[in-house]
Amino acid sequence: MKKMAIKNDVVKNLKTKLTNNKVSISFGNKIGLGYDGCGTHTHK
Amino acid sequence: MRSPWLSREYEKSKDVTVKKVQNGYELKNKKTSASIVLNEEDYNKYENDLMNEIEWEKLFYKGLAVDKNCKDLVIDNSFDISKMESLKSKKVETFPLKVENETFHILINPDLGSWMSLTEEEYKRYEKNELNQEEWFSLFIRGLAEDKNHTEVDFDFPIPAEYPSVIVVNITTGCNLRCKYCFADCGPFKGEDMTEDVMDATIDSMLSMPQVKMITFEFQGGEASTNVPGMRKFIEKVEAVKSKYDKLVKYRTEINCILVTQELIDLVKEFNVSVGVSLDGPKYMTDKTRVDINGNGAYDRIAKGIKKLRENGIYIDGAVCTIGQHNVMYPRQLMEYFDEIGMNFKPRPVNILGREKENNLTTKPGEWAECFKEMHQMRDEVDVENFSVHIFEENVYTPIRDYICLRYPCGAARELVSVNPNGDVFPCDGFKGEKKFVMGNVLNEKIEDMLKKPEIIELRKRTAKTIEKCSKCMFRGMCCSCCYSAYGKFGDIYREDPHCTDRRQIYLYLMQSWLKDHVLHKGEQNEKQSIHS
Repeated sequence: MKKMAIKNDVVKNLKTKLTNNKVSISFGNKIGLGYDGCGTHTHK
Repeated sequence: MRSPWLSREYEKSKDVTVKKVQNGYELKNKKTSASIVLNEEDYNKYENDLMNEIEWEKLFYKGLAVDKNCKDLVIDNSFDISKMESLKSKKVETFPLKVENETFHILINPDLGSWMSLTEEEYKRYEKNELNQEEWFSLFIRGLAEDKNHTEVDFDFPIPAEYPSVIVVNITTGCNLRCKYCFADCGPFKGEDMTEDVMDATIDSMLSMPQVKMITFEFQGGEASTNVPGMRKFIEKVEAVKSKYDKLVKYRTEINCILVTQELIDLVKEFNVSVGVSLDGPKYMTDKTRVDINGNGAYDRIAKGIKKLRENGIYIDGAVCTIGQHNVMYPRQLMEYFDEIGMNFKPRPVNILGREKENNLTTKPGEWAECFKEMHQMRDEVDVENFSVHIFEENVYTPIRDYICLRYPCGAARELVSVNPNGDVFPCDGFKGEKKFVMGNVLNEKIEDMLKKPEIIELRKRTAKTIEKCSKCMFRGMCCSCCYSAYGKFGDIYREDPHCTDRRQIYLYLMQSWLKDHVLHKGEQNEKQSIHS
């Protein structure tokens, strides 16, 4: 089996908005990416 | 200045034109007219894709480079970095960090978990407020500096859930093993199976949960595989009613693999049940703790069960590998073992509840950190995923906190709840043997209503601020004390994690590791990656 190629130091899908009074960085407005099993951690 | 936190995968923008000018090269966005002049050296790095993440981001936030993974960048006409006046933030803490012979200075925002490393020279300028505008902006964008004109940084990262999407269904409290560290204190001769009325109430309570689109039923115990008829009954009940609710449903189970019957295999295949196993490494490790009622090691039976599952085409998601006195001194052997059997795994220290309180098998301060470091150093030598490496790297290197046990507030009574065979509901499966933490009973009330009880609302607000030691810790933004481990160790959930010392060592080590690979030995890292690919 081959390990998934995951770069743990890079975040994908960061949305960015720069205005004169606010800098917004958002990650898709998701709620609680959560839990996918006791012995795993496969989502990213 | 260097930091992985908030870094992206950058590339050149097609909208940018390059023109040779007197003092270097001008990069100009033909659509927005934004521009920058790079000197010869920096331009060569740009041209040959050799810029580091901070150099790229100077271009990115001016619209002169793009994020490969997300084109969603909006720069309002009103935004102008040159008009910003940044200054130090009182929220930020600093400390020196030695990496080989170099000393870096780390600026960290403890609430966010964001950080930046500065060289000695940069740190001196920071102390004297002599950073240039772009350097201040790199700090500002990470919550490590403030703007005099009150420009805010708004981070909108995934927030903890309000309603559970996962329920651990303890289909029985009986178990065919008597593991020495069992936090639920389960074993043979003392078990009850879930009754049908509890199943019906649990299913209705979860499927009617508002806001949650996908519900996962995770079968545990005791040992779930000792009650396959109960699992089948439960799943068939869900299947019979799920169309009435607008929900997606998933099933998974965590088993010890001692009892892999044809009836279990059929169930797993028919309903696409994800399977995880508990395994502490090779025979000489596993047999020391995962034992039957007579004290006999279970490894051979577990290995046989895994083989049978695989022969029947069942993929095993991963193994929970409990780390304690039986295996903490063998990190290399653990990595090699799981690589050899081709199974992803999550090593984590023994939790201090149930039988562990008598047997004291958990790691002593510093042992888990040393074990983790060695496994981390081997991460590229194996073809399996070590989920603990993944989780800790993610928490130190990024703003994402998607592992519910390493995030404040944790997932207890948020993403997750747990139900016992008699219908008692707990905030987390770790509490399933602790009567004190019963939220209510599904036979009497809905889980949604249990979440509104004052004591549960209080529990859901458990953050670093509510725990004295954590509230003063500079790593609180990337950590979380495990509520049931804290309870087991100190009799109080409002205490630090029992493995706090190790956690702190791991966070520092991961910062050092990143700086070593990306700053001190960047060339070697590139070479390694190219050989690997």
